[in-house]
Amino acid sequence: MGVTAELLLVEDNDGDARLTREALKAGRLWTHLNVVRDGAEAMAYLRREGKFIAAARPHLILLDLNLPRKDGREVLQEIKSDDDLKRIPVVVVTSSTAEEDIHLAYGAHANCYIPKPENLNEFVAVVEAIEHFWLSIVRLPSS
Amino acid sequence: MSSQCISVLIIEDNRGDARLVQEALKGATAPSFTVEWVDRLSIGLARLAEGGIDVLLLDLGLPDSQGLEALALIRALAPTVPVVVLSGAGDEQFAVEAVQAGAQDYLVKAHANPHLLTRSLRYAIERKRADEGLRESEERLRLAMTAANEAIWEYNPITGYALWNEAYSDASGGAPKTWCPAELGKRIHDEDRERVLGSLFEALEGQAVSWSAQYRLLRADGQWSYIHDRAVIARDTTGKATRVVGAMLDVTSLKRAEEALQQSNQRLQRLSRDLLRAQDYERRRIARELHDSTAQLLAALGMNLSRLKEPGLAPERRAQALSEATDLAAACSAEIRTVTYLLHPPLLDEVGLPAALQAYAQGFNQRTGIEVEIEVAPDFERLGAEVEATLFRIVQEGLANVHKHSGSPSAIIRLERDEREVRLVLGDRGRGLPEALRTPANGFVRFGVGVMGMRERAEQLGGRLVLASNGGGAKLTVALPLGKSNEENKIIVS
Repeated sequence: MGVTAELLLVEDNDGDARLTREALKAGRLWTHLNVVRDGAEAMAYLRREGKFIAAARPHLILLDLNLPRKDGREVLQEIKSDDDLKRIPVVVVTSSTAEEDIHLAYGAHANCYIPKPENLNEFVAVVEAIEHFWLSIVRLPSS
Repeated sequence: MSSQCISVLIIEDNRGDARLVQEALKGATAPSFTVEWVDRLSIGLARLAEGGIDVLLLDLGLPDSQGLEALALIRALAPTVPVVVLSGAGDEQFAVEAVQAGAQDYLVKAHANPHLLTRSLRYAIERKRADEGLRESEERLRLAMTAANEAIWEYNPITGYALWNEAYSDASGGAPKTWCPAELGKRIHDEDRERVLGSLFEALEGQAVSWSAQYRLLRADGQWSYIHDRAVIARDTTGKATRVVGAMLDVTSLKRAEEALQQSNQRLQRLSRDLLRAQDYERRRIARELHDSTAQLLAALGMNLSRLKEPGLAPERRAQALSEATDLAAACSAEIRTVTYLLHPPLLDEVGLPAALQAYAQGFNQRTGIEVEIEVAPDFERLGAEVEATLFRIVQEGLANVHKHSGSPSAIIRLERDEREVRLVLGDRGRGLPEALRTPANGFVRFGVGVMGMRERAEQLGGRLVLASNGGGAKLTVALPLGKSNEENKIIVS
């Protein structure tokens, strides 16, 4: 296991991406946050295609559901039906609170579903909680 | 107007001539004509005002008006009605003037046969419609350009003459419609003129098919406008520029907003730098205060110890002085230890980073037994105070970690710089990043507040801090950009 916790954030909202980065920086864990802005880029990153040829395999994926080009739901399906990629935990962080989306996400083997908080402090708390639980407490598979 | 039947109004004082026209049009079919006749301009104008007239036949020699005056009145009151002027054999020149003044066509009465008359009326209607279309599209373009703050200009490199449209005159504040390049040159800001005209003529002489520039242009009201100017260059088969058509966009408000944004960004940067400087100042103050108070503690300790030298001191007094001295020594040591980290290295300002690091490494070696080698070029110049302080603290923090966690007998510090950045590498030969720094579940590295603060600081200075571990120990690399911020830092020092 390397030194740095690699995270892949799939998020088209620059503000949320920035906020996630800042919240992670405030922690003491040595994390590296890679941000891609749509589903097609996310798959290219995970498969190390094109400009992502040297991309680090993430330990954890933070996935928004509503994305341009390729939808987050499709990205989740693709990750979880790929024998290699399906081992990477996917944390769905989305502003959708539709029962249908929650159902669908767990059905597609999302590792957890977190509604994106509107409130700034709650947002930061959620990122910290993700960092604490998924990177410090949980034992992840070695790639 | 229906395509089958065209309404014609004749304004003609000569009854015979009017009859002639009526007769000539009577036989026409597809289209057919309905003809109304009046013999005075005033009656004709009243009839036009009622509407429904498709085309007007106008005699220029009416009793209640003088020639072209009649035409001007009609064009003012019924601008959409096409006009064919009727003239006598002697005043054909007059008729040509009428066409120039806006009539669609003219007919010499003596030559007016049914065929010619029909053709002329239809032609007048078609032409008027085309003119209307053109006028409308020009109007649309003008409105669009006004709305977009755009203006159009055209320049002919062969004749040296240029034109601009009315919107252009508005944008530039009532400029003339025709100018030579030198005239435009006068309106361009002194600092922009040579660059703008130079690049335009260079583009014309070269192969370019487009040109663009940004510059300040003087408006008639004495204000400067920021202009974004883009042009297309047309060339003949030999590649010679024959025509240049450009569009000027007034970007003054955009530019102002951009400047304001830049200024507020700079303010923000200054503010955060001020904050860091305030932190530094605070550290220095704490260092001084600490020094003052520990100096007093040490003075008290000295006094106690010298009392112990007195030969006739009672044993209980001696015991008390000794116990006090021990307490004072403990207090001193505790006070120094707790705030060592906060101490601003006093050497740094005076002797610079390499010498301060050397001195610190020596002290570190005495305390810990760890050999520290420092590699730095002999002519390593001074950096900005902020950069030096940041690098010094990173070394402090890094060496402390080497001591606490690595088990390495030695450490090496390499300091190098080029024009763009300064890089510091701190390596050891220990066990790599130790378990104590790792999260229990996955072994991700978790740092103390110290290193995280250093990383934050490095990022605030536009740099980066990287930590790597391999079989042969751990390596901390920090790179900070030099250049402009470096200069600013120097100013802060003074």
